[in-house]
Amino acid sequence: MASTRFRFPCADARHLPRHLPRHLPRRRPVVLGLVAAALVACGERAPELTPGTGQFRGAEVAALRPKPTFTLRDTDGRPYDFARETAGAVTLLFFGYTHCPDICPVHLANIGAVLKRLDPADRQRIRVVFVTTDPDRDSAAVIRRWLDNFDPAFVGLRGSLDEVNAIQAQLRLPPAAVTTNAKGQVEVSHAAVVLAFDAEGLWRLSYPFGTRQDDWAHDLPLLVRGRWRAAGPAAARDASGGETMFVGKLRFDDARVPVLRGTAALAAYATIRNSGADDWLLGVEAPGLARTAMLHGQSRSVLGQATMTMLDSLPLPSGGTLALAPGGQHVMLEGLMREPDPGDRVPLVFRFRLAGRVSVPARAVPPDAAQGSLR
Amino acid sequence: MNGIQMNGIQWWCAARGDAWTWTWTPYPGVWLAVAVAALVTWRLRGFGPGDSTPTEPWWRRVAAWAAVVLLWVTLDWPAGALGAGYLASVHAAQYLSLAMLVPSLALLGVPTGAWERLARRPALVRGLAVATQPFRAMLAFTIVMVFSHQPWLVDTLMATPAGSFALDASWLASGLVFWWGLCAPVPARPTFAPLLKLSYVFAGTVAHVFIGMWMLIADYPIFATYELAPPIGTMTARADQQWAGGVFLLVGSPLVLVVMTLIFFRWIGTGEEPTG
Repeated sequence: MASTRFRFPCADARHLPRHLPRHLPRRRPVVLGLVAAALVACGERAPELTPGTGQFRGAEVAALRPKPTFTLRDTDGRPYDFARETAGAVTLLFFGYTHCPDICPVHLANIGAVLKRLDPADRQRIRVVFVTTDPDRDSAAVIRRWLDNFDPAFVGLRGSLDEVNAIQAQLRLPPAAVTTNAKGQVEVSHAAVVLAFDAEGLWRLSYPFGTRQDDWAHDLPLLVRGRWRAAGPAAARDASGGETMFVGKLRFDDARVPVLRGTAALAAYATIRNSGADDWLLGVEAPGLARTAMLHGQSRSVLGQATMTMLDSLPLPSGGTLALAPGGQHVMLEGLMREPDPGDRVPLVFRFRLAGRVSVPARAVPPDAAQGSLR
Repeated sequence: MNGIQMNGIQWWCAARGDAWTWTWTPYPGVWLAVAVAALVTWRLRGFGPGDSTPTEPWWRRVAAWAAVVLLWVTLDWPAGALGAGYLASVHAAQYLSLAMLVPSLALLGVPTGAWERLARRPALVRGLAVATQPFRAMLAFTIVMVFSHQPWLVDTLMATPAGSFALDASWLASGLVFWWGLCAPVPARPTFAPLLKLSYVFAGTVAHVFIGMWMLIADYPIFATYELAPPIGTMTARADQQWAGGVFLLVGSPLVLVVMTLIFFRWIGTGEEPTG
């Protein structure tokens, strides 16, 4: 069975501009909304994140949390008490899977590459712990072989999916899920964030996908030295109830799917504001809801006849707004796998050229709430 | 413009962010570009030998069609896709191909008859003389080479088919302008003597040595596109970048040396004045 990439709708952290060098320092606020938004999407209150003090390139966590307490088996089959084994060390914790084609290996390769060049004294005070979210395929040997590609010192842990999800629940991360799609491909959803705990065992920073080696090289020595500067005044940012979501420099307002009974297709709408660099919306997916999702434009002829055209992408300029709205550009969901009920949360995955894949929980709403319908 | 795209098909190779697979992928824009190049080459071959040369040397035909084939191989899948979004080393090889090999081969492949026909069009020749004036051409080539390897520009342009196309087109255009003065007999430049030509080649291409060195010795990956791309095999982003630097230094530099050597021996062979 082939494996495919799939990010958990609530936890997709692949939101940073992929193609802009040194984007973290320039776009520090980019990272702030992610965890908050992702967790709210899952119905939990997110930890507060500050926009940073200018010291770190990762997203600083304002409401500090202690290390989770758990014991899983390491790649030698021995019990590994996470809190005890990593006590006194800066710890990077990542939930992923070895068949992951992109985010997981890139994260670990970047960390591994930087650790190799780090001062040995600093290096010794850092632990990297990988927890598999795909325990069925990731045996201890598979994990070990895979981690050795990056750094033999990386710790690999394995437990049942329930155990792993219980750990993620402690951290208020969304649970991982392993599913098989219609093509027989295994899809593993997981959070794509590396969590950084300081030597005192507090979760200080989060590093989403897009973190570069240069960013790690900047932050890791600071983490080791525990050089914390007092955070600024309450600059916490939070997502509000799913109606408005901040994901990096993107703001999603009123993401919704009007539910029309008995139709083969549904439309999805949202307003997206971009306070980052020029970007493009390349596509949308609705995992678990529709087999295909397309960007459509709608225009009217001089005779008033509406025509729909399929669009390959939509520009989202810096400082601009992209309105996916009835009667205009919108997302068309076809090949419905289920019919949502009004009030349901429908996961939409927006795929941006720079911001990457961004998961947004859209509200399923009655058709009249959408100011128009496809009919 | 993000490019014409049908059902996920990119019209030109650009970074996709998807895991690499060896599944063939069509790039219609590349095919169109190669078809145009082939058509132009075929039309030019029709001019045949000129009045001054009753027979056309065989290598002209080979050079002309080699340029077309090389253009195709460079831009189309898999090299095009790998260079656009996965491997900096392939990207570097694409640069050498598009900016150095394809233009020079294409110009060398133009039959004498076509040059003679061009020479009979004074307005066009005057325009070409301005566009390919050596100092200007050298400057343009260097500027394109340096700027098109700036990380912010590469990372921005490679993200879209239009941007990727612009980068490829700029390499090809700057290459044509640069190599025109060396490979094209029209417009005639009697003052562009061998010694000047040697200096021209050296000064125009020396920047690639510094770019190659930069890629070779940088502590961390320079281009986000390749650093954050889904990995291929076990090659690290830094190793890939070092290979890119190696391509510049170990392929680009010898290429330049070969060109300089040919100019030198031609100069020796013809007994031309060194400074015109």
